[in-house]
Amino acid sequence: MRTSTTLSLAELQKRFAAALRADADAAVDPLLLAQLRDDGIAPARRLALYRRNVHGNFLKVLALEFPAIRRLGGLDWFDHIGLEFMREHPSRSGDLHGIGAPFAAFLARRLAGTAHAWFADVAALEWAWQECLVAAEPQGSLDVAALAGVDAARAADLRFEPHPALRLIESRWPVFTIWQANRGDEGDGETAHRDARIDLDSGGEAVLLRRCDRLQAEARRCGQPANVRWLRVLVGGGTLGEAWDAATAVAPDFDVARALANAVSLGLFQGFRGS
Amino acid sequence: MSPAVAAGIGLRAPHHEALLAQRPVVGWLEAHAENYFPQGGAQPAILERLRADYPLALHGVGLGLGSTTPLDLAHVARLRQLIARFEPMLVSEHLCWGAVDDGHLNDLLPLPYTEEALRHVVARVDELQQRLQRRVLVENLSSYLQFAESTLDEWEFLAALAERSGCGLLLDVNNVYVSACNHGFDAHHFIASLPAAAIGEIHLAGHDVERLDGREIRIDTHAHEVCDEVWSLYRFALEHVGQVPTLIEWDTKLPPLEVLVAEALRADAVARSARASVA
Repeated sequence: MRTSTTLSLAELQKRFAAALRADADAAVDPLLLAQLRDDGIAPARRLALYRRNVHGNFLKVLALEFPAIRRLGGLDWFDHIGLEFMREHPSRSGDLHGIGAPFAAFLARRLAGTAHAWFADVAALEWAWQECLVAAEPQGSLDVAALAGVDAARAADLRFEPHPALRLIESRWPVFTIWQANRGDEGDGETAHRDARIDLDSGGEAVLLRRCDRLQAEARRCGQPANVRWLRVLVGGGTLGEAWDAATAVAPDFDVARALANAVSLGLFQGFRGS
Repeated sequence: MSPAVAAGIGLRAPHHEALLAQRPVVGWLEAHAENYFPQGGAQPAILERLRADYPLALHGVGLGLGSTTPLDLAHVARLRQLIARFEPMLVSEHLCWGAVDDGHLNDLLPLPYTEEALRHVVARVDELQQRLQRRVLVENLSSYLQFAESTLDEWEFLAALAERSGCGLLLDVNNVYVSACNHGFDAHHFIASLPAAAIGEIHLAGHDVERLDGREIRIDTHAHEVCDEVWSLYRFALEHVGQVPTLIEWDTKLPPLEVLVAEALRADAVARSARASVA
């Protein structure tokens, strides 16, 4: 029998969800509390168990996806910023693995103008790594013999299909060096701020992420700016000629044949087509 | 009578390497479906290798059968793809909700046991079974609170759900024990009230005990060995249900693989002794 305070299932869930997302010390919705049996343990304390689980599940996955950010910012800061992030960007799926997608953009806004603005680029690298690990398998492999047989006069019109796991991250900070020094996942807090030894003004870095095979992925620093520009154009769907132009603008003697052979040997492309 | 079904263990990523290297003699593996949703990379590749050697069950943790948001069809589609690829012997989900209009909470949240909730869950399970073109098992939760408006007992709700939707039940014996202690009902009565023929799988796990307001409350952490009371309740369940696939689950503070294998062997021993006493 419905009493006047009984809620529909949808309304009950809406209020329950709001209480679980709230801060641990926030006052609990009295109408929600009235729906819970009071039998020796205060209903608000029972709800708090679920709040702890919900916050904990979210932060555990975020920590697995962003170990360097957690170590750099410290465990308390990470938990605090992680819950702020959760409220602004609640999980959109029953599968928690996607929650990290907007984290780098969130940090970029949240830390803009602070001494830690560079955290956003480290987070973008960590998320790109997560995407690289789980991206779909390629549809096929690039036909090397066919590529070698392309008429030189038509080579400038070629476009390449990137491997689904390929990611290219560029930053004005040394993100690869920072990430390598801080990505160990045994984050116990004692090793926080390991970046102290890295000079943030030592120059930007670009990072290439790729899968070596179904089981292994690899991250490497992309040392030459011309190579980064070349690859950026190709990954963006531009032609080999456009990529060559972009590269020679910064390095007039850029060796496109060598760059292409290197990219093919790393399996960066799953196919190519003419104009 | 078929030979004993050896107990299985929950498949967790930190055990992937050890499983591939040791290939322990366990009856089967159960994977959390969502962990294998990615289309590529190591996770599905490893599951493919393990599937070649072990029977597999897929256990969903994120569909939220009791949520009042529309059933997530992308989630169901991924589940259907996994089923087609890995051909699991069993597919299960939980009697819970987990999402509202503005997002998911990614936890197994309890429902009020009302006619309204029952009609809702029956319709959702029905839709899921139609879309998957197979029967699913629905698992009872551990819970830490009860709703004042509940008009059915949890076991009545589960029995009615199985009867009206045609779904099977996944009996988590640890969850029965945890909720029985937390809410003061009789765990044996819970189990004996379920339709035995609907129960297609049993879960066993360990839990934690905390104190709140000077009272004990049990928390379903999957962080320990199965406790003695749950082993004893498992034996009682087998006498009621008969032999069904049994799984050892462990999620928090995951020990070496051997510890899970030892628990699975213990489950086998309990099942043998229950069979002997029935015979």
